[in-house]
Amino acid sequence: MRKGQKVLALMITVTMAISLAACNNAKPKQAQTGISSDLMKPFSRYSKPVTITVARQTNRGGQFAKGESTSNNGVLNVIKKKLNVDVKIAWETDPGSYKQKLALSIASNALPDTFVVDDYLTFRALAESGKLADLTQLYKVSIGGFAKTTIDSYKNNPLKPFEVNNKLYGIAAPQNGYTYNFMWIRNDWLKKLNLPVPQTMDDVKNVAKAFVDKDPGGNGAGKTVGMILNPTDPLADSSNFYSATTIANAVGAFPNRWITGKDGKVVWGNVTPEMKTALGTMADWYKSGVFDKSFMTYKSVDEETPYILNNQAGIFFCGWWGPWVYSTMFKAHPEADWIPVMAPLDSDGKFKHTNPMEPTSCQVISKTCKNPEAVVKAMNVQFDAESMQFDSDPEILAMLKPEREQGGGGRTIDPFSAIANYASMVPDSGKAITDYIKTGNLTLSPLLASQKQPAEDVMAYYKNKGTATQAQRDTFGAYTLGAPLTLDPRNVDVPIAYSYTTESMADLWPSMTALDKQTMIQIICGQKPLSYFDDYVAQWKKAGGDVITKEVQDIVNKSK
Amino acid sequence: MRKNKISMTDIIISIILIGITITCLVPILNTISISLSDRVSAGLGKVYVWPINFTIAPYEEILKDKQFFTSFLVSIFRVLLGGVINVFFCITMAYPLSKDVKAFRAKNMYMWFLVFTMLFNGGLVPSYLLVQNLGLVDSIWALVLPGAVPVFSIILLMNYFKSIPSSLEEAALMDGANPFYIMWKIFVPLAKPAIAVITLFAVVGHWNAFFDGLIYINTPGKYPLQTYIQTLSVSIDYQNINSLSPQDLMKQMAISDLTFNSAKVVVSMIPILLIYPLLQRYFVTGIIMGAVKE
Amino acid sequence: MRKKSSLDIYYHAMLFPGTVMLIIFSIIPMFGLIMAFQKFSPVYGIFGSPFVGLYNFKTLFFRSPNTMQVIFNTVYISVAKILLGLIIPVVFALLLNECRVHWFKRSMQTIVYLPNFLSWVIVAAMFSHIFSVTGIVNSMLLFFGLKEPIMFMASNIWFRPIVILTDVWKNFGFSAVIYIAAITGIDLNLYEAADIDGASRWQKVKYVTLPGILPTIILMATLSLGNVLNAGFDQIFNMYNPVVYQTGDILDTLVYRIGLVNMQYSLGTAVGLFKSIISIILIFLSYKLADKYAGYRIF
Repeated sequence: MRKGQKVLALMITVTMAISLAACNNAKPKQAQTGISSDLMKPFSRYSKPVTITVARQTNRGGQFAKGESTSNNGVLNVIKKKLNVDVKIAWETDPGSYKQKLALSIASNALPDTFVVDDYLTFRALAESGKLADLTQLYKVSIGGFAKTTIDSYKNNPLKPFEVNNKLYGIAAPQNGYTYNFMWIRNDWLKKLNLPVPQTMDDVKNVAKAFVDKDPGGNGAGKTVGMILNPTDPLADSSNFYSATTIANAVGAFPNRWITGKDGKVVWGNVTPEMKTALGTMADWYKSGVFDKSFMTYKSVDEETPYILNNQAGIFFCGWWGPWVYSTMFKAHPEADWIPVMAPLDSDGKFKHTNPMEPTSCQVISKTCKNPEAVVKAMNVQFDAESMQFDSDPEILAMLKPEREQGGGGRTIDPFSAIANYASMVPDSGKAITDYIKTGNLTLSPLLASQKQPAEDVMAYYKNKGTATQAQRDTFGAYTLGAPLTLDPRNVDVPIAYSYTTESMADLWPSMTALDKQTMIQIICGQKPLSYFDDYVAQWKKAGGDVITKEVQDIVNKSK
Repeated sequence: MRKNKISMTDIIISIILIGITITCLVPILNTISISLSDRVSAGLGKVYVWPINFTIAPYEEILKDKQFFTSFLVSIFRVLLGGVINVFFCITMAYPLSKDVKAFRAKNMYMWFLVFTMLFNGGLVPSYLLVQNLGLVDSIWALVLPGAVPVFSIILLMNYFKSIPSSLEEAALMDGANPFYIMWKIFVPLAKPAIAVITLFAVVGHWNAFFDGLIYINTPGKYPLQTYIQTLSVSIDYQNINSLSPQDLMKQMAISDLTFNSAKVVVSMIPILLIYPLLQRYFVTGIIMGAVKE
Repeated sequence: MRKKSSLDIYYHAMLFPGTVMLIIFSIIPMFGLIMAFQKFSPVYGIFGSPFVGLYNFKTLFFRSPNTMQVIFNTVYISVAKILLGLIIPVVFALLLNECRVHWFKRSMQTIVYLPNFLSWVIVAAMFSHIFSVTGIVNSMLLFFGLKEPIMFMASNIWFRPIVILTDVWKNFGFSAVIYIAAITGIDLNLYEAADIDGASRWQKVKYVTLPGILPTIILMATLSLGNVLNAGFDQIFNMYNPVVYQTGDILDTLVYRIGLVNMQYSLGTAVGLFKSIISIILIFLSYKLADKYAGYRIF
């Protein structure tokens, strides 16, 4: 038997040695950069074909036009035509498995030329260990077109966090602003019950109660839900469906955000005294039946949307795109008249909210990539193609047509991370389109080229409601009801103090986030008394809150 | 030999069994009905055993492209290849291990080795590094080799081999047969019921596995069916909701996760439903064993 | 006749290919277990990540306030599942064996194993609806005079029983396959002999069938001990909500939540290692106990 053990030991050693050797061999070599300055220009074409490999996440769901796929489609063809660059897919997964597959790719030193890193700490580790190409110079000379305009349109430089030791290692798609939630409410129900459009906290509560008790939808007793609430995270980032952050904001609480407190110090929104007030209100509302009683037993908002569609809910929180949520209900309930309302307002009559956190995910280029400039240039082409900047060229238009008609919004076939819109796209297009209805003249700046189709859809519905399609009606609702509200003077955009992770967060944050979410839900549905909030704050601070708050404060102080 | 009279006991047993069967059948009908219903009714839990507002939209989504059929073939190939490999290792390992310690002294060492490998595993990262260093990434071998030796099935089959009378083996040895011959010509035919069970386990396991496909396969064209279906997730992209076109958003909203998932389950069950009755036959023919006289 | 010991070489030869496969695909990757003692980052790899000693175990057992409750929940749920998951399939296999109508027997077998092929996502959604405030169970209870509907899925009294029973429901048919196969392996002569002795049906079950499948039962019981700390992640993850954490949170879901933001391979490996060690101890103990007190060798 000894022999057997020896053989076994030998085999392990040999295999480990092989895998070690493999690791060593794969050490990144700095790619030779003998590229002429002409080829560094944003849209310059190569004479010989250049190949780049990408890792991509694909949200399928059958959104491809006929004959197209992730590896053969209009956008790739446009990139090939414009630049003579072939984009090859190294590997692809569904969004849920991307992180895992990327981690394995990293661990085995088999990185594609370019990929998205959606975890900030992984990004830092990659940059610090020298696995990424330095983009500082490249970004200056090679980025151009819509991509550059978009990134430049944001007040705070969205690329700042992707600099490590003053070198740029990632290009981020900035988060769209104006994605905060409004309160969408059934106006026909309000009229039926002779109630005014709610504004204050108490108004909202009374209206929701009235919807439940008086049953304006005629569903039968106990079948109507006052207000839909996000089941997994009722105070989720405000751009999430049915998130009650709006309620918290009205009492001055800003959950899931680092904000600057009254004393000028940075504080985590979930542990402020205002948050206790907000939770107290919500627990009271839950108890008195304003919220759906069993909201926390659902797995996703997908199980709640049916209440809206089935005429059983009168209020939900959603961004300016709300009409697309209730889109399909009109056949069965043509009387439904939803309107977005800026409510609840705070005691000063303002509608406070925060914008989304700054992006923590970015597109990076591997150090082993031979033509990093080709990646940046291909990104330029993708952004321009998707924002319809090439549409004057009929040949390119023909390439992109199948996908446009399919309505995939580009995300299924684009090889690089999501295309962003420039900073004030929502209010600008809302204004342009409402003016179009009033005056009959459509003026869109070049940056809004992609909004031409929505504008025509809105007009089609406006002109003839009878023959308009469901999609045209939804677009009309979103652009004429939702988007214009973003221009309302009562809006107050509360700045976020900090969006990124810190050193200690890697270890501590996950369990603190878990504690956050579970406490919020437990207090709202009365499983824990409101006084438990103080225990929670103490626990949160002890679990790492104090350490992390200090780290954030230090970073904020430094950047002042 | 068997009484043909139907007794009270028979009736009671039948009633209990029918009751059990119904509790099992209802949820299946429920799943099929949900997959064929519209999302509103499905989401509200109104659907029980009959579809409401009949629609085949989720199936259309699944069956739409060629990839579905490519992946279907990959899966069939995987099940055949993986099934044969699994059964081969089961038989060659279970047979010697079914001997008692006196006949095969190293047996216990092998047994604990098997149990050890069943309970401990190094996790995803080292397994991936290994498969990558062996050059198996993006090939079917990455899906069938790492799980080639199913310890649980080996122990089952080993136990079944033990119940086969040793007189058979002794007689064959007397005739000068070697153990390979005995294993193949005497034990394997007699263990048909157990082999049918482990084959079923192997087939079901290979058919249903999706995670290894995601990890080890890079080219979607080589995905097995379950992996492909998994990538068909219809999740709404909240982060980039502003860049969604209305048509796109509507399409995503029209198929709910619930109906879509149900359709996935129904599609993925079909081949198993086809293969099971075939294997079930062997559970019955296994009774021939009783004909061997001690 | 050949000498018995001379057969050893044949047996080793038979075991050789399988053993090699196991060494390559199971033993070699076990070097990854050192991740349990590291702060593993894919960027630095297994050989480059810093060692942190027992830090991950400390995170699990000391830094997370509910760990003891969570371990209790895990063991409670899994032991109940193991017990019912042994008894019910055996009873079912015996009942089925007593059924004499062949077509009925076969179609029934085909039906009861079906739930096994449904994913937990589906099954959990289904039962959530069945047990919801407006679901069929509450409708019936209200009909029989209950005043307020019970929120089963958000009740710390009902959550565990629901988890255990739905698990048994899902798996009993498929588990029964093993016992059905074992029953077909029983020598028919034994039944004939019992008939000649004038044994009743119950006596035949008690003295022929049960002893015939007892080795399989003991084997399955022993092997299932390896699952004492596996209470079923997929199921609980799809069924629980923060209100029932107190009774329903298990080790795997806790680790999932702690590791939510980053892919915490190290923490996951540490928990896996802990579970493996407990499992192998339990299996070893039951092996020894069965040998000592019942004179029965599992292997």
